[in-house]
Amino acid sequence: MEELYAIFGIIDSILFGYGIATFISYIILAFLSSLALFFYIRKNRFIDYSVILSSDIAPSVSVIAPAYNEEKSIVDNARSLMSLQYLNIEIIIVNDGSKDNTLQRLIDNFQLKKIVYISNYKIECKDIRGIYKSENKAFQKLIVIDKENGGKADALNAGINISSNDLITCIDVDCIIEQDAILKMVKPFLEETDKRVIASGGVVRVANNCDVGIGRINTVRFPNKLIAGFQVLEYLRAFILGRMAWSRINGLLLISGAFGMFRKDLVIKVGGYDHNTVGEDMELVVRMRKYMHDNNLGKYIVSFIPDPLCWTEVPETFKVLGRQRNRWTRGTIETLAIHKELLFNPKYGLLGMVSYPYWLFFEWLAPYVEVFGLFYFFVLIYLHKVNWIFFFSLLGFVYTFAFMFTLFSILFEEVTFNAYKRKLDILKMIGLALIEPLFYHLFIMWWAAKGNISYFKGEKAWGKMDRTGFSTQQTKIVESEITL
Amino acid sequence: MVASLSTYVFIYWIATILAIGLQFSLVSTIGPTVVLYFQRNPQFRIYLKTTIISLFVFGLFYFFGHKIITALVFLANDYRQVTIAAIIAFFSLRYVKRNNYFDYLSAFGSIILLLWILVFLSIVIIHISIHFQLVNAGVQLFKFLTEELPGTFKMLPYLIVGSFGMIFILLNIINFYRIKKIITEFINDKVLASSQDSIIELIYNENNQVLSNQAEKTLLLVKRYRFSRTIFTDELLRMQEIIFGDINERINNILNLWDIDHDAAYYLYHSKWHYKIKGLRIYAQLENKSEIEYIATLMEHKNKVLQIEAQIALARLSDDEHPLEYLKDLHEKMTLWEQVNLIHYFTRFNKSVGDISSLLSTTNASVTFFGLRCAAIFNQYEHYNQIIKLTQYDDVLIQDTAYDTLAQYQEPASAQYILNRFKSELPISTRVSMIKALGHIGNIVALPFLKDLLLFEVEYQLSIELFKTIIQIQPVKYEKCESVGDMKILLIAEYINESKF
Repeated sequence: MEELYAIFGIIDSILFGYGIATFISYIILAFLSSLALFFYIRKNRFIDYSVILSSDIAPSVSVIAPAYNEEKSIVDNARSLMSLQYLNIEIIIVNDGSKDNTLQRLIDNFQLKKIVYISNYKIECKDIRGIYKSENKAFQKLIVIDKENGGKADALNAGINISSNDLITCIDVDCIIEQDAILKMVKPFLEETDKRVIASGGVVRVANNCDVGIGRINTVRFPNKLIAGFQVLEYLRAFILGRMAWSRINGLLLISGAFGMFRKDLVIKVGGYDHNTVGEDMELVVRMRKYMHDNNLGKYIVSFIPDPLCWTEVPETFKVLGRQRNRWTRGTIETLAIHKELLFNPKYGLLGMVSYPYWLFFEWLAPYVEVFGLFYFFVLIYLHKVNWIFFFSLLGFVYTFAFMFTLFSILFEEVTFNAYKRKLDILKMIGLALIEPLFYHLFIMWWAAKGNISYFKGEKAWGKMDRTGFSTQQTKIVESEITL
Repeated sequence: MVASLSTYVFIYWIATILAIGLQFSLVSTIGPTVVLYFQRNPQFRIYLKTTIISLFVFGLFYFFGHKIITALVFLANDYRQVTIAAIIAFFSLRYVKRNNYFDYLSAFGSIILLLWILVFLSIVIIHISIHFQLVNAGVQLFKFLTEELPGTFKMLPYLIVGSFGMIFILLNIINFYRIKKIITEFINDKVLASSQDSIIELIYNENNQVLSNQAEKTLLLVKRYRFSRTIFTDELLRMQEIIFGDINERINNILNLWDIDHDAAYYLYHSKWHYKIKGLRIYAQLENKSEIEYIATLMEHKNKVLQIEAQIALARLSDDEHPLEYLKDLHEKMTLWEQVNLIHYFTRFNKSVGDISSLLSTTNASVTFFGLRCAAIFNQYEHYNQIIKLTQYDDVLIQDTAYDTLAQYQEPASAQYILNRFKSELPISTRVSMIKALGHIGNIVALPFLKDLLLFEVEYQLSIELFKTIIQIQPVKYEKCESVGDMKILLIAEYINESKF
């Protein structure tokens, strides 16, 4: 029995050490992101992005938006993309074998005509059935690709093959992109000196319950559904505290699939998006970084823009959210497994010694530790070996720390971009931050654990994402305008 | 109920309320009031009023704290009264909001409102604390934990208290930031609104007519206080970005009347870079060349934003014939962002880039690249010979850009030069640039060469460019290309013809 207690002692120490390491990493991230945000905001006060707007020496950009069964919103989304502010831009919408009328809606609304278009298909992708361009000069920026269904990564690869510009921006077609988003994303590429900018990521924000016009956010409002509200806090922490901090030390591994800009020549050299993973966005960034190291291509930067540039609708039901988180977890594991040679490999510098190990130990391993911790806790209860004083003290600390960490992200949002203008929204955020660690976090952990199981069972499905869509809100707004 | 207050709880909460209140009062009102007074700024009265109200509230607490707390605790006890009071407060606020009275109330009203919310919440917390003996229990719990927890874990209660403290501080900062923003916007709006008409009269004063007394008064008033000058200078500089011609001149006159160059010097020599930018912008706007040597040193400053501002200021202040001459001494790599900004400046203000020959002969490749871009964009034909030389530069990017510039010149003689230089050993990007240049120049001399090249070229990108160029020089329908006898070329032709919507 004494040997068993000795083992318990070791487990206690490991779990406690893991917890302390997590807290320290969070404190470091908060510190780094505050530095990065401070410099960005101060610098940004003097930047006039409109100078890029009229410049023909700025790099050309292709925006690639895969669409699958999006007939309800595709026309508005395409119009929104075509209104992006940038001089040398082409908009490529890839109809990924939709079963509905997505393609026909585009053809009808933009007077598209099938053209003969040849490409030397530098990246592997499913058969392209046709390329469409508009006969109307007003829509000359638009190219529509109709192809066999092959998934998001495949659709993006088809878009990359057809694109003719220097930079590619990969987006989710149902996201709302700020009008000046491309100008802001391009800027790091314009500023490069001895370090080559290989990619640039943007912040994704939650659009649920916002007033949405045609392709733009009119008024930002906090979601009225609890689950979406929790995700606002999650996104704030992930983008403002997490990714901003990683970009500060140039250790960013993930650029959101919803909105990211890449150097096209490099994407082609590394072979484009990987079809075999559901975490294609993270995998591409890791592969690009690895390629730069493997081929001694010099110093490079993966840049990150903290401005809210992209707005997306997040799941409002546990079922859909669970599917999404399951997929995210599988994507992370797949990427980590594909590039396992990076772990503690000094050849890859910060990538191998810090970024990869962090993702492995604190992103992938965290649900394991938490689930094991819970299981271990119940075992200790059964054996009457729980030190309740210690338990409640630790719980109190973890809870207050988690709340404090979320408050940091709310504060950063408040003093930097201040997207949520209403006092009530801030109060809602603070209120949700109070209950999040006790309620929402348990679900997140559960879905992550399920994602692990799905991965080891070999599941590859993307998972159906039901969206409410912005169109109903648009209709509502138009009606209210008529009433007024 | 009040009688049961243990002394330390009472003192603790009174001290907390006063500390919070004084923190807001001092930071939000007293500090700025004193500063504004010494700046002799009329806006200090607004702050003074706020300070007086705040101090009055605190005075009440200071002298009658015990009675007020007692009364409020009783009020908090009677839930019906609290509900009625809350309903009245809600409808009053709605009324105020609907009638746009918030404009006037928001600045100092927010502070008072926030203070009262804090007081009310504190009272509720006191009430709950007393009822459940929470504070006492908390203190006891803390003592208990520190005694009972083993070894290093004794730090846990301290960490919890630390986190609580941090949470309290963060909540305060969030609130404080909101209030600060309200007050800043309020004062800026008020200052601008109070003098807006006069400033408009000054700017749009047709034929320099005599100004009204009010306008003259405003001019003097703004001149007197740096606070107001700063607000107006920022506003006028912003206006100049979108206004051209005579009005721009008048804005300059107003800035000169305010002796704004003193402020500009203060900003320019300030240790912080963002102040320096302000100074640079004013000097550039006023076309005041007195500090041009110091401004030139800022071009190599470690801060990139300041570097760009210094470059634009120098371009604006330099001699009209050589506004970009300073670039020949630049040692650092010129980023595309800097180039975009400079080109934007010359294009937007319709200014000449002057003689750029020194840029084309500098050893800094990035400056040469920029020189080539300028030569193309601003049609600097006189540099033809220099550009021909640059086609043999060491850097491939410069070679390619030199060919791109030749393309813009459309000088027929350069077609033969390009044909002579064309070799398969050259990098593909350079060959693409050469072919594109031939297409732009449109010299029929190049056609046989291009057609021969097309027959044997295996590189996809080059084939496309070759075909585009051939069609550009001698437009043909793709059916006629069948004579070439190559399916690949047929497809290319079809593509080019059909995608030309």
